[in-house]
Amino acid sequence: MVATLKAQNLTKVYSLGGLLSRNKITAVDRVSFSVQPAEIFTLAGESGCGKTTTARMILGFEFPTSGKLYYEDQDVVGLKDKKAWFRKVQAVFQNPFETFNPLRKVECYFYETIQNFHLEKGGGRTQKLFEEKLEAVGLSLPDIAGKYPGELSGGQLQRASIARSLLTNPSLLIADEPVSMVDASLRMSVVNLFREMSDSLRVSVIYITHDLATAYYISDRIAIMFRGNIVESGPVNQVLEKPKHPYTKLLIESIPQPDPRMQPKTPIQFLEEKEEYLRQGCKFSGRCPEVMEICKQKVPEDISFDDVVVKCHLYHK
Amino acid sequence: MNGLIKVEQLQAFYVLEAMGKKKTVKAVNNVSLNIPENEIYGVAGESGCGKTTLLKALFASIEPPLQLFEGKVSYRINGKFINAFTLNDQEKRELRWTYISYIPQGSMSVFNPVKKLKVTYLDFLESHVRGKAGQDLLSLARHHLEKLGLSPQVLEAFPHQLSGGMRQRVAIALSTLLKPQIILADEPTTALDVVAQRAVLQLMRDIQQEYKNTFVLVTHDMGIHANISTRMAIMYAGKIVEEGPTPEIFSQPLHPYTQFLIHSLPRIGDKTTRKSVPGAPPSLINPPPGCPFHPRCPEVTNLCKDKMPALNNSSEIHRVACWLRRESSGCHS
Repeated sequence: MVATLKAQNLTKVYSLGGLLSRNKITAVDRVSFSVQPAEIFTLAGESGCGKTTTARMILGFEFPTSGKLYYEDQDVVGLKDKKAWFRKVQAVFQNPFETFNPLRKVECYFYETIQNFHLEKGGGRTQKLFEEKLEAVGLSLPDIAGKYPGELSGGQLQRASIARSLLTNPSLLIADEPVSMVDASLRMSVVNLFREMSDSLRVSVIYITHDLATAYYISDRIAIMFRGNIVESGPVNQVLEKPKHPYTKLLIESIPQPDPRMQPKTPIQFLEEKEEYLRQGCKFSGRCPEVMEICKQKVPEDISFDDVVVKCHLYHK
Repeated sequence: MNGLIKVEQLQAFYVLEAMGKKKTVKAVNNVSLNIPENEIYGVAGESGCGKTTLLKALFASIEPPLQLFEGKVSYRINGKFINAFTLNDQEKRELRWTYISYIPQGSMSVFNPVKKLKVTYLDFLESHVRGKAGQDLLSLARHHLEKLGLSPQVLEAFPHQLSGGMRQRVAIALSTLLKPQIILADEPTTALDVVAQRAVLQLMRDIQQEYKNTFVLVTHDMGIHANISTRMAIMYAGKIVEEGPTPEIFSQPLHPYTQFLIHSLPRIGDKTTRKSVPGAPPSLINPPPGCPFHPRCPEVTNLCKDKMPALNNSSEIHRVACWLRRESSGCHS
């Protein structure tokens, strides 16, 4: 089976500071993963861990410093034909209120996409395609027609955003925190929508989030990122039910449990991003409860246990 | 249980006029609450249900287009209840930050992006604390930050140099500097990741335990309510539909809406399908007649469609506004 998307040692380095005192921050550090057809793959981690930078590189908004990206075995780094690329890969962004210009009607975006990609010619069929995609996300034309973003709820807008991304019949959707701005009562319906789309339309989804509970709920495989590295990856059940890396454990413990009887827990340490990015050795060593001497000196290697890959000295034989 | 803020039959509506047509958005519609002291009082509900408007009313900051139609909000100050809406601007200013503080939603917009944090701190302190020199005020701020476990060096930083979680914690620290009795927090952890969120919640819990003050915490995230609030109210379409101690709300949710909210939360280790509440949130311009939840309610009866149930006690401490739960003793589903 050909992977829909394969990343190999994807790296992005940003320079920081003035002209003379330059710090280099490796926002994404040799990240490799693959996404299978009709699979939901989660990239999880806290803010500033490089998950959005990875998404931006896949979408072609950023040029990787090094590394390769393959779409169905075809090298796509620095692709010239952006339009062809966006027929196959589409994005759903975090905040639906920022996705849409508040002064433009939501439907404009649909007609614009249809026009830009020459999807349909002639009024009648444009309308039909529009309605068909709205239906796929559980909206109807009267919900959207003639309305401005301010007149719709967050859930409806996010659905509209997903419907728009489906116009080109993409095979890969990149969803960057798609539900964090959606209301609690409607959140699960948007989450379920991704599952339905991957099952019925055979769309692969890269689901980027820090919410491990929804990640567990919908995804097939997960990669946990920390300061530019994937520290643990594998099938979602194995990674989240039996976490190996101390960072994965911290993340799981930090989820506010919807149960007042399960109160936390030990206080946590909170370090600034930059400090950790510039750290030698394992970047998590500054707040790892199981830190050893070697962690501060040497970057750990990937170690495989069946399907799970973990980057930690604890498991070094 | 001693009340600190009393809300009686509050009706605060937005009155909008566009192109000759008048619209009223019934954001807070007949809300009565008694917010006790020494608690973290949670208000849950989805966006557009009026929870931020309720906070504005609690802060006595009702400005057009928001208008007060009925009811009152009273603060208990030195054992006496004072109607907050009768205070003039000067009196309100004196209560702010010393008696009541407000943490707005986006921490980035709290601080001036082109000034160091200490300038914002000084600005704020100078307008609320009389007769102290700049240096004294700054050392007061440093001391306060240190006490809360934050590095006083953040005062030398610009807002963009801090991460979202740190900025939010500095904003919370700022609002508690003058030891207010009530702190209103509007979605303080939205847009933060779980680890930063945990740090912010930890700070709020520490402050509450240290000063024994009251937090009114507004968020749509039920996980956070389960985590730190001690008592909570569920708001729907401008009305309070359920109110009670948090553990009881989670173990015995009575209102169908609350049941949906709690049962739709995903948990690790459980992959059964979760369902959202059917339908969409109602418009507050034209809310449905009767119980506003009836178009989405799976247990709807004819009575629900034409009369709004009152918020009745189902037990001594747990109240619910639902026709189906009127006679119940609180042991439903």
